Amino acid sequence: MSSGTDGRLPGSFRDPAGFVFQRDGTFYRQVNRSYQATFATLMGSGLYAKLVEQGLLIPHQTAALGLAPEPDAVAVIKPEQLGFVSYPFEWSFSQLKASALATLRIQRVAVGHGLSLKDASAYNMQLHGGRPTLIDTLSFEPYEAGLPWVGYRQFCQHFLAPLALMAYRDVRLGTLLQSHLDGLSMDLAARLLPWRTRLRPGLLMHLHLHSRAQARHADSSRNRDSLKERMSQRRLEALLESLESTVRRLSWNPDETPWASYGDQSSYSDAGQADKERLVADYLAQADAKSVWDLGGNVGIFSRIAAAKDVPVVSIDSDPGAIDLNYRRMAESGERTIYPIVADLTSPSPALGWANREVNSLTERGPAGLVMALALVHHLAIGNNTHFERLARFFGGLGRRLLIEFVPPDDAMVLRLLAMRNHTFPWYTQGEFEAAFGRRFWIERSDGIADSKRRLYLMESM
Amino acid sequence: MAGGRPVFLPGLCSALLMTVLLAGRRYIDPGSGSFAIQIIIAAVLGGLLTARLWLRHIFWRALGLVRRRKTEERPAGDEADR
Repeated sequence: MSSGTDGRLPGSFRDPAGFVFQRDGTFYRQVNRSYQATFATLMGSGLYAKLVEQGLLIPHQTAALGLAPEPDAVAVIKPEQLGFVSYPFEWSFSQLKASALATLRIQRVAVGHGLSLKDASAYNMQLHGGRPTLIDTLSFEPYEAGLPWVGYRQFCQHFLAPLALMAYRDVRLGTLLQSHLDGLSMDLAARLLPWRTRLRPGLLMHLHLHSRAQARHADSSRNRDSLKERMSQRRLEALLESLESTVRRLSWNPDETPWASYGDQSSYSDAGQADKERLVADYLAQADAKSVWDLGGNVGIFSRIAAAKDVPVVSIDSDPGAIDLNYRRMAESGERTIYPIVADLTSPSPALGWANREVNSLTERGPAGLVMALALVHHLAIGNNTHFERLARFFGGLGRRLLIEFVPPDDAMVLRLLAMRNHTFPWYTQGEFEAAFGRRFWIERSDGIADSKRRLYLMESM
Repeated sequence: MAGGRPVFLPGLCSALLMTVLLAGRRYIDPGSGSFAIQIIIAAVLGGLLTARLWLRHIFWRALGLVRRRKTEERPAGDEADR
């Protein structure tokens, strides 16, 4: 992840309470003088301990004040380090929903301790220990009884609107968050949602009427003082309960989509599949990587073999159904180190935000200790017309070591891809594959998969 | 909201809210509208919550009265006969 010359993260500049910086590969957070009292309340009120105990807030240790890049610091904290940072437009429906519910839970607990979330950004939630966790420790402000929740609009934009669109229109609309970094505006969501969502009281109130209220009050400007004594704590709790109920009722099931049996489609016999799993485990043990990116990870069968070594495994696939199933399995079985994300390798997530430096591109979030590309080469080479030379360069940019599978030209899956093409791929041969990759990598090991013509390779960048 | 609560109540309240929020004007500052709708929704939901608690209280009191009356009407020694 890139940072400025003083180690400060380019994307961490909006919050006057503090910012994130990096020293020798470790991330820290500076707490500014203006936030001193609130930080003391967070730590002293029992809120920090309670949220950490429930796995809702990232735990931290106090670090040396001398590390602070700026003189305004009153404290420096070292949060537990994340295995991988992903962004809401890369999340599956279930992960976005779980993050929304965690945000509401945090707000309810915070209000009970005299604090309130001052924002409800989905970017503040990251997977940590297999659960959506608030990573911005400075996201709280003193709760003033009578004031509405300042994070309400952002919650609706970052969570409720995209979830409703994914549930009621199309799950792929989650990628709209890539072009709308501060979430989907209420009017856009209201226009895109089907009319029948007006019959859902929660969506009617928090999206459709919310949109109309924004339009109606567009010319009026209010300051915080004018809002005092307008909303009791009981009413706030009723609002949070309603939001939670609305989010809970949104559902999307991959089983009802064209991806239904995707994970079951196997190109191997039982013996072939077992041999491939054994070989992959062997290669992983030999590589001994500290992190793994499983490209085209599907529902995560091989990601789980990699995660058995308790290292962060980023499971990447362009199929939102497969990634949703992958996330659900991870959440249900309490797996702590898998990060399933939706990304299209033919157009990986770009750098976004202010000066293109607030959100890192997918490739900037590397390198991985080991890149896995199993049953993927034919999709990129034939499906995307990309020569082995370019694939080798791309994979080499993602990590030093590569565990890759070659799918031969007479494989049933390759023949199926070729059937849809009106030109041939004379260069798509095992010899050309080994020659192209051999120009960038040392081939450490190679084995044929039993009962199949496919081959696995373990390679290391030159 | 609890899953078992009838849907028509919030639906009715939403319809009432609709009458408050008539045709909109130009979209400039979404912040004020978000605060306004939040205050209205919270007031409606808070009112519903209070009404629900009040109705529940009335229900249990009425049920308590019925039970007490039945106990009083039962002849002495009724329990011993069982």
